[in-house]
Amino acid sequence: MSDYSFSPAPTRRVAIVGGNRIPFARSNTVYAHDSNQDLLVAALQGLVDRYNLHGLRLGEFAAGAVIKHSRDFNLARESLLSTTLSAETPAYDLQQACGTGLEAALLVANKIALGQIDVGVAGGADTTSDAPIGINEALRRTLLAANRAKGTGNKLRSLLQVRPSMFFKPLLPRNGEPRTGLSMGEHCEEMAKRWQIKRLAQDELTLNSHQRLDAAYKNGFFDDLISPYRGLARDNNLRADASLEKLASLAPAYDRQNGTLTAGNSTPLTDGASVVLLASEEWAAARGLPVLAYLRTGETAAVNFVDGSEGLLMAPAYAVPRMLAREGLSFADFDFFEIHEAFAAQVLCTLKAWEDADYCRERLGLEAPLGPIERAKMNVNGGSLGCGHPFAATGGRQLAALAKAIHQRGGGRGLISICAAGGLGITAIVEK
Amino acid sequence: MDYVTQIIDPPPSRNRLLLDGLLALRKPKLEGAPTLPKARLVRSAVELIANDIAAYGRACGFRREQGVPLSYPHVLAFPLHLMLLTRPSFPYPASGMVHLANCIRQHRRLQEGQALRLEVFAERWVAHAKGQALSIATHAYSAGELVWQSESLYLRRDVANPVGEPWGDSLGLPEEGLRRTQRWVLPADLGRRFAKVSGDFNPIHTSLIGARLFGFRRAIAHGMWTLGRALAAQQPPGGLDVAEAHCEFKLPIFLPGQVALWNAPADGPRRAFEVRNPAGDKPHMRGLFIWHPRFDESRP
Repeated sequence: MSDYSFSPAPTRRVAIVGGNRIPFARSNTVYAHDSNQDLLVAALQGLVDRYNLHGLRLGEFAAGAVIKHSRDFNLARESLLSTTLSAETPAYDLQQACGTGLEAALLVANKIALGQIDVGVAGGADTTSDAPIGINEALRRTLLAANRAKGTGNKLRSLLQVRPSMFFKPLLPRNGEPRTGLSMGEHCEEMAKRWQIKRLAQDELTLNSHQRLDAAYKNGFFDDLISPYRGLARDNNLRADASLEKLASLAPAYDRQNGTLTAGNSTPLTDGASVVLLASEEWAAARGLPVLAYLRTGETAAVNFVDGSEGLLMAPAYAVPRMLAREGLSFADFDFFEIHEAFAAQVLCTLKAWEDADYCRERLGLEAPLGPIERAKMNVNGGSLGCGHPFAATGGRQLAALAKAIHQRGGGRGLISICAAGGLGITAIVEK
Repeated sequence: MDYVTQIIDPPPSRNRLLLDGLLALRKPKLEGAPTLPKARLVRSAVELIANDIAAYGRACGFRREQGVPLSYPHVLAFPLHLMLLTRPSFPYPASGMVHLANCIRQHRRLQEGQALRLEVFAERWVAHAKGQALSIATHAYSAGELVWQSESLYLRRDVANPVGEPWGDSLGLPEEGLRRTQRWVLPADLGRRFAKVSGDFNPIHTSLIGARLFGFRRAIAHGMWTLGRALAAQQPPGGLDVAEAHCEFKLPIFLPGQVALWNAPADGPRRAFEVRNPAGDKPHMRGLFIWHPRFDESRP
């Protein structure tokens, strides 16, 4: 036998010890002057305070933001340095569109499972209020050419190409798919038409999301999941007085003639941040911290939406059956479903797809449809339609809330599903 | 037909072409049937220059990994088209010739740095319902082999009793089943940007005043830009080997503006497509894009 052979250590369970987020705020409201880093620091420091992690060196901090300036290349590390965690805690950034937060959690969890680290924090932040604005593309190219030019004369000649108009046409971040030029709402509108999702069903789902979120706040569910920030104690997108009549009065936002998606049944641009504390059972026990639930596994998927053969936000429809088959589970084995509500229509399309025998056979390769999801088990403490959706912060919000719901119930199993730009989807199973 | 081969070297300057265009604004009224120009205009070695291709690609939305755009050689041949149309012996004013349709066939992959021999000649007259159309052929050879060719159909409106074979809707495209898959926002300076990379400074694309002079209320997008944009949007990753693109130009696209790409969902290595107005009820372009897949795209 070679001197270098080794036996990998057995994998171990990954405990979700807790989570923390700041209340989510609609874009350009209370967090208008906060950067991604400010928001992420607030969420992370809140977690450190709650679990008394001051001065501790953790295995790692993994986090990201979707809308990010190039100067924030080390967002996670810079954020960590602004907290009372030990400065010797390593950190790294990652980005998977709206899947960023959950993907970060899977990466940290996998390292814990493999024994590479004992404890880590995963998170994400996003602000569309403090969005990066780039300089005009023509100006940028001209400046780069001047930078490449050799000699002062050549540099000056390059700079002569600069035109005054270049200064007044900045490059704004786009709320659209790079390859199609269509906004996510327009893509989802196409999906709603393909799956014949009614406006009323979307509005009902939206109302439910607000009502359940409001009830969860009233029950104190979020008391140990949220740190107030800038005077905000709950998500300011939440409309406790929402009604079907009010939702029905909103005009379609993406297709004014035949559309069913409105500002009400779509998530607004939102600012916020969330983090989750993951650890080995031994670490949690040594710190005297109870385990809320275990992060069992995850699965990502992607669909070809560019040529229109699949809807942009349908990837979770593929990820979930793959994950269930791998784990030998079915919908009947779940007590909770945490489905990210980018749009009410996108949730309803996915649910309908899982009930459609033809679709399940032809697209998902299943002999029988996955079946319906019991609505009473879905987004029991509200969803993105109610609280808003700061892209990279949604995964952490869902993971912490689901773990707590399972803990409160005294055990159970839950599924998380998130759709993301670029035809991506990410899902996970949490249980205890 | 016997053509007279004329080597063009150096290529005509932009000002020369504009001046010839101006001089050809008026032509004496044609008596009897038009005669086909006999010249075959040839540039013996035109290099596919990487920087020029990159600039053209940026203007049309091609990505670098897509290689030499299928529509790019047209840009190199276009000055020769214009020379043919502005010759004193050509029966109609060049400015009145409307680009009606274009058909491109590529037989071999094009490479940056490769030199092409370009041959441009008037191929045949075509009788169109709206007037007299003329087909101009472009052949591109590399090492003696035909690697790329195109047929450009130009129309002179309001010519009674046009000669040639009748024009038919040759594409046979589906009327139904297309779906909107993309939207493009077209800036006001798109015409000028495309002029810089294509060398076609036709004022109807580059300026409001120029457009007004020729009866348009605003500058209009260049048809070959629209074709380039549509091909860029639909080309699979990687360069093209054997490929075809056919298109018919419909209503003009006014700048600035918005248009949408409609096409049929995945159906093997071919796409029927239309570029339509934002409401989706008026076509600016109808086309068909066919490519030879580099691997079996039908596998599950």
